[in-house]
Amino acid sequence: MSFPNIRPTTRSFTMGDYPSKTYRSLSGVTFRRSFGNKQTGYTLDLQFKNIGDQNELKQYSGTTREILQHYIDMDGTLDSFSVPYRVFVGMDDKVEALIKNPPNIKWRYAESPNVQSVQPGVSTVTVKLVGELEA
Amino acid sequence: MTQEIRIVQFFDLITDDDKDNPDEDKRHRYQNYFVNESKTFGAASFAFAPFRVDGSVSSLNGDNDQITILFPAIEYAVRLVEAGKGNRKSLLFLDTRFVNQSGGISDNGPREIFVGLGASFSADTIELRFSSALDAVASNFPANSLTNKNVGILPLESALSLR
Repeated sequence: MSFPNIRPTTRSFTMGDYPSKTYRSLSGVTFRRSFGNKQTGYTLDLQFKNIGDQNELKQYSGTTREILQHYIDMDGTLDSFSVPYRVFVGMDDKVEALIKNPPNIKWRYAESPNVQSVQPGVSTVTVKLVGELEA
Repeated sequence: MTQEIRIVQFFDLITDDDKDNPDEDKRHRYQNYFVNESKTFGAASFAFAPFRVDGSVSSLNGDNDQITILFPAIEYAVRLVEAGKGNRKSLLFLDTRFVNQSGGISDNGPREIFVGLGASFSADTIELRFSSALDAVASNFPANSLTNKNVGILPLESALSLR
């Protein structure tokens, strides 16, 4: 089940890395041991500012209920899902391809969504996602 | 100055688990570096499994080294335990190899052989325990076995004291 196809107000993304450990010797030489051949640990933070709790205030702005219902449907942080194109609106296509579908990566909630009430019926919702490898 | 190391371990477990054909053994082959890929090693295919190996892999006297192999508690790890009758009837070949930046596997590296000792479960992991196949022959190697005939009633535990 895909994340709601809505536009965030702000979007922050960090690339994943190869799982590794570093050993630093007394001489200062460091050894890095890699434990896998694929990157993991991508993060995507989204903020939906001043959206309606129940009804969309602007087209594709989404609602608080829609986001929270998706979180419940995904069993919280347990299940993985895809992230639709509208979340990446305004981004160059080639950059979007790297971020939207990193190879072998599944997106899931890193934590529960944060809802900040702005005025009656209007809230700001912050969502943090993490992209991890699934065997 | 930094050096990069990439290491893959090949886990080749033989279990005696076929009830209908007791002489038939089953092979379970996994590697832990190439995520979601199968790799050919020694003419056999090894699927990916996220396991880690802890403990002594070799020592000078070869005295009953023990290792533990930690799996997440997922379906095939449970199957491995069941297949080896609680990992007590199993034989493990563990090969360790270096991997280069382009994913090539080195030709040479250590191969260790272990026998199954048992398994333990926790909420999220399954631990398979193995021991080196042979005990070392030491200076106190007994010339005789302790039997009822030569020492009387034998204790039920392994601790013995000479008085």
